[in-house]
Amino acid sequence: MLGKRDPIFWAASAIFVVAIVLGAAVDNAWLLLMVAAYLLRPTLHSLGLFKKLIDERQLHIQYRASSVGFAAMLIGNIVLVLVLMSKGDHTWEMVNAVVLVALVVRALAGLLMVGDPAVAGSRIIMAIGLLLALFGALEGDIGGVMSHVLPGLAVVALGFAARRVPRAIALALFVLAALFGGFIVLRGVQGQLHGGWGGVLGPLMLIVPMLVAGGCLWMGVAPGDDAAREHSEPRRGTATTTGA
Amino acid sequence: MKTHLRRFRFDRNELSQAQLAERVAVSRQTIIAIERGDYSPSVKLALQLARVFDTTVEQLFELESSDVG
Repeated sequence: MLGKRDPIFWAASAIFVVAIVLGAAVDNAWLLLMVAAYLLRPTLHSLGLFKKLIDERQLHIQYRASSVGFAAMLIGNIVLVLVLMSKGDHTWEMVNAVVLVALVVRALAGLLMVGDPAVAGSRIIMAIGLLLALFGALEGDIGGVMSHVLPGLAVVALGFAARRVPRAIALALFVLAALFGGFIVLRGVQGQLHGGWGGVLGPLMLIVPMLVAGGCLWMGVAPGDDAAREHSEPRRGTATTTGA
Repeated sequence: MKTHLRRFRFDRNELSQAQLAERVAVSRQTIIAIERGDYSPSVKLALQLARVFDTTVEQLFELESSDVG
């Protein structure tokens, strides 16, 4: 039986005690540590660690509860953004950025958990392209919509192309991410990067998915993969025939 | 889904929920939830439970009319 006082329980308890001590001593980061203690078990399992110490039903409940919590957090953030906007307080952009980071991570994690890197890579590129096109369309005036949307659509086309030539597209993504990252760093060094940390976070939200997509595409195709697929398909057919 | 876990436990030397939980490495609450029909176990856990009672998953669990699509 999975005991209530297993190593994860003691680790979470230790973090909790540290949080209490920190709260009493320096009054800093203690609440975050308490959250870490609370979420230790489901987080470890999400990362594929200590699977034997985690009960499947408890995990099922944790995941469902987390989804409810995520939805509540999003609603809370939307309300907060609306309140801040009504007061003319521009910190709403920071709240918005946190929501976007959470959504991007959720989408990326979901795609990666499917376990098919090649498909995940191409879908990530297409999602980036669609978002670029959407934001372009919203920002451009009526006459200039197409010119704003076209770059995004070009990225979507890259996503489709990634299905045929994954490694070439992966290389292109690495180069693009490096160029984009270098450009941002250069602007930062020159002091021309506007928008504070938002000016860094925005590009990061493009660069990280590009790198992840590139990595997926690169790893998704092992040498001789096509040959392996060709071999596997007749076998599948044979199995069906035998089964019938 | 209907479960016969409780009957199997009593038929086989009155195995307690805690003992069964220990055999399949889950919490006792999970065994309780399965017996009450509140939780459907994973295929892996169902197979482990069936192995403990030296039976098949179909003998342990069965679909009810409401489960059939």
